Amino acid sequence: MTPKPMVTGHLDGTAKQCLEVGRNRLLVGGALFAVAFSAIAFRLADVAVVKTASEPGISASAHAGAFTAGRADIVDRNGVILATSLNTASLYANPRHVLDAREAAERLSRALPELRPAELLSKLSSTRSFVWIKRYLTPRQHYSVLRQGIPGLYFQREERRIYPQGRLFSHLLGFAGTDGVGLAGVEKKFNDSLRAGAQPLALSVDTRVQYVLHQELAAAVSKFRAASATGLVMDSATSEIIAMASLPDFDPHVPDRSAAKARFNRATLGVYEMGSTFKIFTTAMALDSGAARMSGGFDASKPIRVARHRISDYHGKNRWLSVPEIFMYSSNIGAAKMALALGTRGQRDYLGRLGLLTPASVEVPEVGTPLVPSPWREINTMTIAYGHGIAVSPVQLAEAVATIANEGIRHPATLLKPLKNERAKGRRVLKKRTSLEMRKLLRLVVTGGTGRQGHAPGYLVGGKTGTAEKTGGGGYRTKALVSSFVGVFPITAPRYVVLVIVDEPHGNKQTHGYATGGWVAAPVVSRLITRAGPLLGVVPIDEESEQIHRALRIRIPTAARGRRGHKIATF
Amino acid sequence: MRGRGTLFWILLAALVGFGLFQVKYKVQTLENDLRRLNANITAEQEQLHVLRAEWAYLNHPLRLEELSARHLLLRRPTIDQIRALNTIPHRTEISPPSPLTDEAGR
Repeated sequence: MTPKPMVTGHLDGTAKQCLEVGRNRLLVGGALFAVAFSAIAFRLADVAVVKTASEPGISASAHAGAFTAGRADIVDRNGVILATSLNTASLYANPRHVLDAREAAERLSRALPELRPAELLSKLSSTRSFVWIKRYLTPRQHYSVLRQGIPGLYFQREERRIYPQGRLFSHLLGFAGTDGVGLAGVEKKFNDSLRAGAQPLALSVDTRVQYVLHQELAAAVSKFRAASATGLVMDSATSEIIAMASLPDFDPHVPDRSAAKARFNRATLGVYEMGSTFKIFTTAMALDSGAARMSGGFDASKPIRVARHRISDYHGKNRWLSVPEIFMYSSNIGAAKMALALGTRGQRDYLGRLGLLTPASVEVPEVGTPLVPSPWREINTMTIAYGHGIAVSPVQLAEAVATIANEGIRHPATLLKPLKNERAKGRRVLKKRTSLEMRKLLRLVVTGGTGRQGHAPGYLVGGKTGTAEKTGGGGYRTKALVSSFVGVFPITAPRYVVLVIVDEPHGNKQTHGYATGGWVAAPVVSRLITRAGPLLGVVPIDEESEQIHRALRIRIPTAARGRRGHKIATF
Repeated sequence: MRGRGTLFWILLAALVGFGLFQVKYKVQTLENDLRRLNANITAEQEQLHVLRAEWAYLNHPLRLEELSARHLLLRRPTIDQIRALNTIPHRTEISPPSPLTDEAGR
């Protein structure tokens, strides 16, 4: 390896200069290339080794996009689907592409027997380029049409809202239109979050209890030839609505096929003069404020006459009545006097705190505003004492009764299932003692008063009947009644409130012609509790045990005011 | 010497190029697989969704009640059939099970 001899010294000036220039150029070129290559090398390392944020991670790109079918599902408290969206195929034809209309119509009617061949033929032989054959095919129909392989027929994917429970939840859920917009009920109230289509919406309702309620209400409507009926079951500790139904109802798949009357939600939008169930509130507020005591009473021997009104008793005893007796026999005179003892302002105050003067906060758009007297005179105070002259919605009534049963702590009525570990803090509106006394009184009505038919063995039902005359033609109509019963069970440690209202029932032979709350609504509540109790996990109690007797004992002062005698009721 | 060096680099480049394309094609097939699997998963999910809706429909309480009336000898429970666990008396003595006789087995 001998080094090559350098060429030196033999070149003259110009040649040397040229060589110098050439070297310099080579150097510049080399440097440029070096820069370019190192840039490429740097970029290569950057791309291959250094990870940038915009690069998709392996785990991210490996995910299948979560499947969504438009509107989110609605489920009950146990996860049973109440409403869901399905992608369905809709069949349309382009008659210009149909080769033989007669044959196509004949084969198509074989695949879809419910379509008439004559009608199909006229559709398929028309000159238009688009004609609907049938919307929302079932997967089976879709398949059988595909199998026929008829040219000129096409499918369009369309989303459809399905309500697997049919009519069970029609008013509560409402419905969504063909364009996927909620038009009533929960579907309307939560339209935006349902359209966003993420998690299913969990309601507080229980499908099984809803079914029992729906069935018993329907039975009562047909048995008493009633105009309508409504009812609800509410958790007394949280005011969650477990079941809520209104009859007549409608098919949510085709809501426009039923009358507006059927689409009316009587449980939330309807307001009723409730009648004697309001005596629960009258008695509770009188006891709570100290205007009356359990051992006290009022003279109910004579009807009260105020101006042109006359307040008299339905189950008249015509004597002095103790507070428990007023409640048990549902005395209007006694209740009116109890309300007078508390005063107009006190009554309005308490009713307001129980939520009976403002619309319920329940999560449907159809919420009725209570009808409240204005101005609120003394005569109003007296009639409101027994539930006339004020109209509230059933859900308001149930919430207020739940408050009284729940040791006086009020929770707003809700249709939503609470999230885990989330316990709503209620607001105290009554003393705990009042609630305990009211429980005994409610039990007394079922064991010895007007609500005996609300008895459900083992479930210790307490409750109150109500029978209101409907207004119409400038006065009250004695033949048109709103008969109701509100029950609380088990009364020693309340868990559920059950309210049933039957509108315009007619008495029959079995009820000896009566159509009052005790004869019409109380048996419905009894059957409902008997059937739903096991589903709700309420353990039956031995009603005859000494412990229960002691817990529910009430001292009923005897007739004469001056005398000291007491009768002890042991029902 | 120089020729060998060049040959080495050319071979290396060819090898790396070959490897690169191998990896590229492999990634492409894997990506296709992934896409197909994801599409299948989505289709399965849609199937599940439809089946869930059908299941809810088949479990309508009215239908269950009718089926139960037709095929089972079950009736609505009465209150006497329900007991709290703590009200069931404990068995005080354990006796050996009596042998099954015709009568007991009936």
